[in-house]
Amino acid sequence: MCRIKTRLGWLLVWFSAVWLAVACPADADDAPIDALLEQAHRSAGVQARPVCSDAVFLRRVTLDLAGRVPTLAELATLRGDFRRVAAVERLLESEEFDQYWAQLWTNILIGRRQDNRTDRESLRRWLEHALADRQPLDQIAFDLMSAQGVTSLDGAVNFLVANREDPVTPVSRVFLGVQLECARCHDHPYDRWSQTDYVNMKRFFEPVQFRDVSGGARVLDVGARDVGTRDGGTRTDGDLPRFLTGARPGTAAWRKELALMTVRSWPFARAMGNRVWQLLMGRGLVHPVDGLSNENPASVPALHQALAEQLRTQGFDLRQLIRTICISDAYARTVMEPSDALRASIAHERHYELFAARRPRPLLPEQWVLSYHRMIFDERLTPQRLNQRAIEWLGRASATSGASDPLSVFQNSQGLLSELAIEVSAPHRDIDSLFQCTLSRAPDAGERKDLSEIPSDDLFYALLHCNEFIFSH
Amino acid sequence: MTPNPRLDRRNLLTSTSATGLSAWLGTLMSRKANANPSTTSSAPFKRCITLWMQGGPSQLDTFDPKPGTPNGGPLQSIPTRVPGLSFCETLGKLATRADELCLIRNLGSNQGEHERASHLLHTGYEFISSFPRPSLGAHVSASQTITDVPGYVILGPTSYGPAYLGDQHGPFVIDDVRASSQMLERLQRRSDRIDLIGRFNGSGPSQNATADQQDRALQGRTRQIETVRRLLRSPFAGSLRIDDESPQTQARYGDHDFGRHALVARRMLEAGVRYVEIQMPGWDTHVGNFPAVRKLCAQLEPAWLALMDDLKSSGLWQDTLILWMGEFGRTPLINGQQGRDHYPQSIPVVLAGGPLGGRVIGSTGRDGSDPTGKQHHVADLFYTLMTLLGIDPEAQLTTGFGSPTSATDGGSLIDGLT
Repeated sequence: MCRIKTRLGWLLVWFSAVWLAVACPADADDAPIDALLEQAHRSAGVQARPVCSDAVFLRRVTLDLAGRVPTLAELATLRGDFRRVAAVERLLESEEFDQYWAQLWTNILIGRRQDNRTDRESLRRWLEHALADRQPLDQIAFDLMSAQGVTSLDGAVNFLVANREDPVTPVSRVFLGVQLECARCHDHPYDRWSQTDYVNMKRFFEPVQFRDVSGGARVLDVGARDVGTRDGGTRTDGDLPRFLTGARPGTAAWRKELALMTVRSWPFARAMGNRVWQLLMGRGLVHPVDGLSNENPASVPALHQALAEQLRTQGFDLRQLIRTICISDAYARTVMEPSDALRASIAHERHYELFAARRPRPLLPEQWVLSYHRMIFDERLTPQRLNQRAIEWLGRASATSGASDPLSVFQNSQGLLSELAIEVSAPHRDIDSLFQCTLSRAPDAGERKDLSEIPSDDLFYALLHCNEFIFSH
Repeated sequence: MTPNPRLDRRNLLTSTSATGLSAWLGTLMSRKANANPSTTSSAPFKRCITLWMQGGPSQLDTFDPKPGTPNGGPLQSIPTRVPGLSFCETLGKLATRADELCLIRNLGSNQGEHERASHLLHTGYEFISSFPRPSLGAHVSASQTITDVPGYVILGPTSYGPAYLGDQHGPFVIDDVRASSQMLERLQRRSDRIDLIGRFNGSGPSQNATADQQDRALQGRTRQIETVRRLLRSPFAGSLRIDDESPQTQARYGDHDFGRHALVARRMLEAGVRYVEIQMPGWDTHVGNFPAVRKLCAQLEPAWLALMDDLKSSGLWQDTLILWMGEFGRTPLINGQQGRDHYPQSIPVVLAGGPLGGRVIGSTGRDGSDPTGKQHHVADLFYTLMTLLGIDPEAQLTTGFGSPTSATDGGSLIDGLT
């Protein structure tokens, strides 16, 4: 009986594989997100929330891919033959996607702040071109880790220049999803990484030299053989760097070897999958996004692995992974209703961990600024101005931290003051357009009645700063 | 060791207030010996104003002149009321008040790069980008109850953050006083609009979004709006309006950025801010050191004196610490361009306030480059400053990613303050 069931199962798998291959060949290797989550929900006894309306979906996906709320013209497409796949496709093909995601990744790699040697905009521009050229994620990561050149011309070197004090920490956080820095000073209390691992990883960067040139810095490798041995004697194996897997470089191009070992490892694929998932879903399968450890595994390990597999089989195609996630039911789950909140307040966190419900999440400063700017001026901001505005919006003291998690930002009261002090004049006079261009919905009958007396400038101001606008839900 | 033979301990402890300080530090020591971390509310200082000399001030041409040596330069030195102590002529008026100041001359570090050294002298730790450290101002803010006004303000362009102490203890950074003042006043005038936001958040269909009582982010935003509303009602915005001061008072502080910032800082302390840092640029005097320092001191000195006078008349003098320093000192050797270069081996620090006056700690030797006796590290300075401000320097803290750390990078009290 068992054997028959197994055979039937295999047959089904085979049939569906053939069917999938015929029906949508590009999606054959896509991670089965909803199937895996359904299993997880079932075994946890969690009831997933229904999927959202097209209007809510359009707002979410425009914020996530273009970094702003939809325009009135984009909202008008909802009235025709609206297809979610097509909306995702249109956004992925837009320049706004390249620009916004380059901004996001620059924040991940070096933060919003710029020190006097780093050329932040040069890195962002390099990333934008890489995204526009459809470069695979492993290629981008390889280039960032092994880059040589001048900060103003060779954008990728700025990752290393900005992190020149301690390149091991961002490399392990961003590209491997683990926090190695605790091992800087002591062996990790719970984990397998020891101080020796940290030291051995750090040796990969020993040949790197930074030389000041006019208007920036130059990064070059002096060649591993010129790097001194630990005690000045002949070089032994122990003097060579060692990757976390135990591998040592076979050539003198240590940094390239590190980059290659990194992007070929499973942790890299999982870390990238988890990053993209977090940027779209608001929370990583591993949470915090760069804190994978024995004590902190992925909330749905099978999905964590499936995203990594999709990346590896599809050549680290970022857009395809975004497509897969955005058209899943998981992406479209609605927020908890008040009644759910009462019934299941304890199980709340579990809902979010298993992606059974949408947690409203605050707009990133870039999203607020881009939305505001597009509404008022109907034109694009330069990337430098965007970053400057984002820093003001957060409050300068908050914007200085260089955490690798772009979603863990906090607007301090100075930032809120500067947000509230922004001058506004309503781009429309009627309440309907004002609601649509900010909240992407029409006012209900009660609101229409309550708010009819309020001057449109004041109404627009309140709409721009109220929780419903400030959160993506 | 006795840095100055005529300045012994007994000499320093003649005033009763000085005895008070010594007694307090003595209590602290015994408390530590008992390993009983109780409240430190009896610390001598409740608030602090930092005069930050961006670029690294020349110790020789301010508080530690070396007349008659090749390093002395063209400026004269003048005696002070404290026996054996002279200041450079650039600070002639402060020299008459030297018994209200406390000089630390035996502090040094190995960090000679501006940004790194500034980080070191703001946090007590070497800079590591992946391990942000809280600045002293954030520690002061975190050690006291949160009020409607910000706990920590920076008047200048460079922010030194709160790191793991939490964003509510980050600095309120004001680069342009007038612009900030106008912004706050505009918001005060339009508080009806902010009330309207509250109306949106409290009712209507947006309730769906806020129904999730578990959600910290949503609650945080609502609370933050409330914080800002309280801030706008507090005396903080008013403290930025220096035009409320008489023209005479404004003139005493000086008609330049540093003077205006010092006046604003005083008003902020009166409004309840606990820590204000004023950043004064221009001290990186590699070229033409002497006229530059003379010019800087001409702005620094009157504002400093006005600050001391006003703190005394408002009664804040007894528990307000004035801290003067930069990221490092400057080379005793004068370079080919009549300038002085970076010299982290000697970082001049001056304290003032309450019972601290009249102390001179350490010596940089005959020509400024041959220190004698015990040398202190930046960790010792931070240990001492935190102790003076009622922060336990040995407190175990937890960073954002959960690893334990301590408030200071080791260190111990600077000799001569106990």
